[in-house]
Amino acid sequence: MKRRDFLKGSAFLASAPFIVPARAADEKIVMGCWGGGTARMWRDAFGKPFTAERKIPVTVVELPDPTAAVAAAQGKPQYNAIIAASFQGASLAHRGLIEEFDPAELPNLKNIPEQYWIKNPAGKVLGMPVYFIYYGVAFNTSQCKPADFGSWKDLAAPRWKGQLSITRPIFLAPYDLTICSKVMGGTEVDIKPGIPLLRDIARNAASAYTSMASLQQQLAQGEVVAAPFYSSQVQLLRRTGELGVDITIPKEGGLVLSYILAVPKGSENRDAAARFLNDSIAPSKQIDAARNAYLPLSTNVTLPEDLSKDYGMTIEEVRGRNWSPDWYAVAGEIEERMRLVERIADEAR
Amino acid sequence: MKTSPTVRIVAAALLIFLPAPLLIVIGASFSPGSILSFPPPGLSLRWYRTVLGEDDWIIAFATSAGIGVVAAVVTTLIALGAALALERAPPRIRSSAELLILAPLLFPHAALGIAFLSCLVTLRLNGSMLGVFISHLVLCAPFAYRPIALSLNQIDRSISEAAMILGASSRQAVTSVLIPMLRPGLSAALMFSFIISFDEVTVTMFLVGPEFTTLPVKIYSHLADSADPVVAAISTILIVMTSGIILILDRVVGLGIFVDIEEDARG
Amino acid sequence: MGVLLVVFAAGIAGLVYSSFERGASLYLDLLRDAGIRAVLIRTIVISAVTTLICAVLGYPLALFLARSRNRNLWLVLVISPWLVSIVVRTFGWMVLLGSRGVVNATLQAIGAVGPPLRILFTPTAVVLGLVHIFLPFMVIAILSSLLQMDKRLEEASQILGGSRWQTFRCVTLPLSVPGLMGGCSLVLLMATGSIVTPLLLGGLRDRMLGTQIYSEIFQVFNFQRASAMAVILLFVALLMVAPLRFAEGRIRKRLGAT
Repeated sequence: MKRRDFLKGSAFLASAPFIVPARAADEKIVMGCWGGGTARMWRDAFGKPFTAERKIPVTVVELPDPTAAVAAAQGKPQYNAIIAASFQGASLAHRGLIEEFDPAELPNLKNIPEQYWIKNPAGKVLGMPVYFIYYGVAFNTSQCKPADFGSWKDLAAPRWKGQLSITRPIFLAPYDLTICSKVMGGTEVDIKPGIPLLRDIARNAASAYTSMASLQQQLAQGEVVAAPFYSSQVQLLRRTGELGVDITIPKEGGLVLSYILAVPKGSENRDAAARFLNDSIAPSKQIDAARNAYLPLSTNVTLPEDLSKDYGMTIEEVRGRNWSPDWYAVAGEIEERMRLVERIADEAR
Repeated sequence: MKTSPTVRIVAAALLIFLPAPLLIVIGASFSPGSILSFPPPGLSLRWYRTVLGEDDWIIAFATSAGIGVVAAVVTTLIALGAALALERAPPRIRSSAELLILAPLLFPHAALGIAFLSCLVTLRLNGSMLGVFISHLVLCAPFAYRPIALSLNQIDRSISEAAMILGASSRQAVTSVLIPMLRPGLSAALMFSFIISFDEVTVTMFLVGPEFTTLPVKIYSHLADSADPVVAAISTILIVMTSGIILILDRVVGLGIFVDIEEDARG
Repeated sequence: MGVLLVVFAAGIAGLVYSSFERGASLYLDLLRDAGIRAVLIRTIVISAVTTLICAVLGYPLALFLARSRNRNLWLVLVISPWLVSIVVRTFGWMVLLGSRGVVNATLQAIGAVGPPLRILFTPTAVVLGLVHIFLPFMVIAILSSLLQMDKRLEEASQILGGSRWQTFRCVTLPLSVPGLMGGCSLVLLMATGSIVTPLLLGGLRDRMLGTQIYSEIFQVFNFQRASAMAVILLFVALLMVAPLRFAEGRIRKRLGAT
């Protein structure tokens, strides 16, 4: 038995250094972020300058889903900053898992038009809207033209049966259902008008893509010809030379998908986090973000020539053609709407 | 005994089917483009250079491998002890204990992830490697226990009794006689545990912290954002490394799962 | 010492159980939901089919391996599905099974089909993916059993004049039943809880219960509902595995008597 004891003992000894020591009370930022290019951007364009200016270390942690990590922690989060889609941040806020800020605490907010602020009914802000992308119709350029999708309703046309892809219910509910409802005369609160359109689009869908990578591959290989998708993903793909995919904004407009930098409730170093939030929309950082296909929301930023050319329109035009719904209201109903879209998808045959 | 042609044909077909997706991944890793595509439009080592250049990937790999190896060894030892102990236990205790050990198999990993997180948060171990290690132990335990228990069931205990009659102490009977006879079960236990731990993503996703991450979690987070072939390059490296290690280990140490009981007992 | 180890395992398992104490009243609601019922039935069917296919295909492969000289080499191929992360593996499948993928391209080249077969994002793709992952488990389980069988019994049967098929039916098969049943229970259990494969290879309407639980936890954050679904899954899994264990016990007794 000696050998077994010895092995067990050494295993425990070896794992001792892994036990996290009691955290020091120093200021620091621990940020949860999606992986790949986004994490790299936050580390280089946002984290490093912040540390250089404020002498506060920033650690960017790659997670499959920062929002889920905060929700799972149920009030004891490991991260004092996360990046999240606005509806996800609002969703956490409805559960009391996000720190609220008085607009005065984040002075740089004044550079962002109020329609893009994510506020709760009490007027408190739920994070710093750092940038946005838009939701439009991505398509395979060898099989479709932008004119094929002049309207969102075109996605429901019978010719596209089995050729589209749509996203998972968790994103269908806040994004696709909302835009369908607007197209059919409803709002982000009254989504009933949008249900038939979404059902028809779902009927045409061959698959539900489960990650950016998944749809990029499907579009590029011609498995599907079109899908409602994110402008950033298409722009990044095109910049690497893959010109087989492009994106268009139908005439009713797309969605402004803003992203917020939020502070999980109960995390440490709230003040450092507030400063991190405030600094994040400094113009230089916004331009760096634009290089990664994330567009600025602030009005005091002018994009350099080469970047504006990519979009084929000025930044004001992009903002103008797309609609920013009340994400707080959308997030309030998210669970019911998710089950609704699951039913819609099941019924659409 | 010779095997019938039908068996050979089925076996051959399966031996092509099983590695098929891997061949795609290996092929795609040499693509010069930025999306996973097969056949690759050209050949390039660009993504391999990216992987080997970035420390993050190497560190994540080392973390996963380290946790995997230690978890496999510890789990196998615990499972061995448990199997030996339970063999002589009264049947009712034995079946309840077995049910507990096998319990993690019955829950989908997503549910287990949340459960582990709440436990670890209470123990203030969330985000620590020890926390991940412990949860991997629990997840691997059923996979280690089953082959060992099955092996134990099938061997001829009279051999170890004979050894004891011939003068061996009970400890010697176990180490020199019993354990070698259990080699298929022990090897299977080690292999399963390592694979389960190394590949684990759904539970581990919740338990990683700011200071470290595991390879599958890093791959998954990466794919949430970009589709570049860097994942294919990593996977190819893994394939080559793991198969290499298995073949080398077998030559040097003799993994046992590939050995007949009889050959072993005779010589 | 063995007892201590078991207690340790039990303690941990106990912690896992205690977190599922909530969500009692949700069960009726869940079972009344037609969508959830459909998911449940689909889960049962797909798991059962996967297990059956794994057993039917795995046995010959295990037999081949048991009698082969180059076992090591073949075994590396057998466990090759495990050598890549599940998510990456699925990309391989997408390339193989897509409308413009390798399989369809080959079939069209030899003229076997006209328009491409839709395999990807269907239940067929899910079963294919699941069989691919779980086949190694089945093969290794059966293989362990076969290797621990006394070869001389097979030789004896042949010497006594039995045909190859008779030897197989009366000697090899019964003696390998523990491994076969063990493999089947394992695959059945794992298949019912599978999450990633149905998520990535299935279509919109091919959700399995594991995937449903995953989205309840990760996306809606309704942990109560997820726990309730997990317990339902648990019961279903136990119900499916129980007959196997029963059969295994019976056969063991019969073998023991011989």
